[in-house]
Amino acid sequence: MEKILPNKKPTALDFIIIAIFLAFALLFIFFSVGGESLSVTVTSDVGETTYPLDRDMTLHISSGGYNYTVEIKDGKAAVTEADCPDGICKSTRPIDRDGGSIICVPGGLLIKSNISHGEAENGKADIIIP
Amino acid sequence: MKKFISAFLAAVVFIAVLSSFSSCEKNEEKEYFDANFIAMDTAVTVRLARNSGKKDGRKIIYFDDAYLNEIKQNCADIAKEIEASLSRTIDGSIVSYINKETDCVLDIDGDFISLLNESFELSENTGGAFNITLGTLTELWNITGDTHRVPSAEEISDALSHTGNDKITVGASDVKKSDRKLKIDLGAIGKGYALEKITEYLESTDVLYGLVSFGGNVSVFGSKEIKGTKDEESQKYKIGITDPLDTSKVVGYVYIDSGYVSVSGDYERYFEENGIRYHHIFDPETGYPADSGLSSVAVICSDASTADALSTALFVMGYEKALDFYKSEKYDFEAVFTKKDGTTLLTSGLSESGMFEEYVEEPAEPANTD
Repeated sequence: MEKILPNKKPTALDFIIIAIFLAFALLFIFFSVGGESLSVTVTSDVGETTYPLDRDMTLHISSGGYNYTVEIKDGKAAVTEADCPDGICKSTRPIDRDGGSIICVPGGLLIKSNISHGEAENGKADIIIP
Repeated sequence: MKKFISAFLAAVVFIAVLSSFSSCEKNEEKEYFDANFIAMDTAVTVRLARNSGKKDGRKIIYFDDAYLNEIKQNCADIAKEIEASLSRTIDGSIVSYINKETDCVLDIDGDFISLLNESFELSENTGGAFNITLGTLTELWNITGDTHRVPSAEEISDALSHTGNDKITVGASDVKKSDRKLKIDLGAIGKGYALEKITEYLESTDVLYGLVSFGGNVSVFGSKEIKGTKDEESQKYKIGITDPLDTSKVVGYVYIDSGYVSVSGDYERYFEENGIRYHHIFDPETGYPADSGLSSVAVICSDASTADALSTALFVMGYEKALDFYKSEKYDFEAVFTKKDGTTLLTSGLSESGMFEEYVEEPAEPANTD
């Protein structure tokens, strides 16, 4: 004789089990995709600030009495405007996830990539000599 | 109701376990405290282990940022103080006084005199490949400045006529010049010297281990044993050497547990004109950027100033002469050479010791064999 199962409503236990699976899924996503994002650290005479490289933005920074415009675009950071005396920072190649730094000695401005060569990103090297 | 309570408790335990796993991962991510500053026109990174090694029960204690920031500031102060002596461009530096059109500079401090003597000894032992009397040439080319240009042959010849170790004499606390126009440039040894002083300071602090990157120079200090591993190999520091032909890659890794690695390459500071790259490492014989067939040289040595100076000297010599120099055993060092054609070569001690691991790129798409 065929047994017909009763059409039960979901219980609190069902919801908890679903919540556990959801929590597990979220943690899995966090550990597999998350972690330290690609970024640059800007050190000026007022301290250090880190900005993500994957978000386009324009920064207006003052350091050592000089004014700079730093543009983060397409995963690269560059000094586009500067009123410092030598302007070397403006002619420095943009930095990206592969490392490098932009230095303005007169204003004491340092823009440094936090991720080098994709290797440090994976924790494979303690440091990579630029 | 009992079922509900059991399931709820199970969920709490499960999430607690996952949370503790999560916090462990975060501590692991924060193995180092990184601090950056500028000194000697270059970026300096100080990486200090956060782990103090002291255990409160089973919990490991970490240094707070204020303490590590104070150490970073002391490192910056050491670098600034040395820069104030060695800089060519800072008014009032010892080098700036020596570089004035003068016969003699008196009352020079002992550390500076020692550095000059070490520099001249390195110059003599490398057959002049390392040379600190190229100041007129450095100024003429101004590779790192905004007014860089390719000088005429006459200008280069004139600049070279004001170089040479025989035109300068170092006394106990004074320097005499027989050519008033001679200028010294400690750019090829100064960063190594500063790095050594910073590393000595860090060894005197409570920080257990760490690294300092000073331009093309890296030092490591302390022991990574605290990380919990007893394996000697995993206690070594893994230092990546940038591929000069593609700076987004590395040629390989050097494994060291102490000492210094210094790299000189044609990719670091240069300008290009008419498709030709003019870099900052000059051949003292020609007055032009060294064209020795090498693109970079990494030197591993227990002395920072020597590592810095030799990386420049070996670059100028080229691979064959550099290998002869290595075999002469005048200095105890190992080296990684990267030629302009991309070939990477090692000194025998390095290849035999297994201290170098070549970077092997992930295989790309299968090659077309047609």
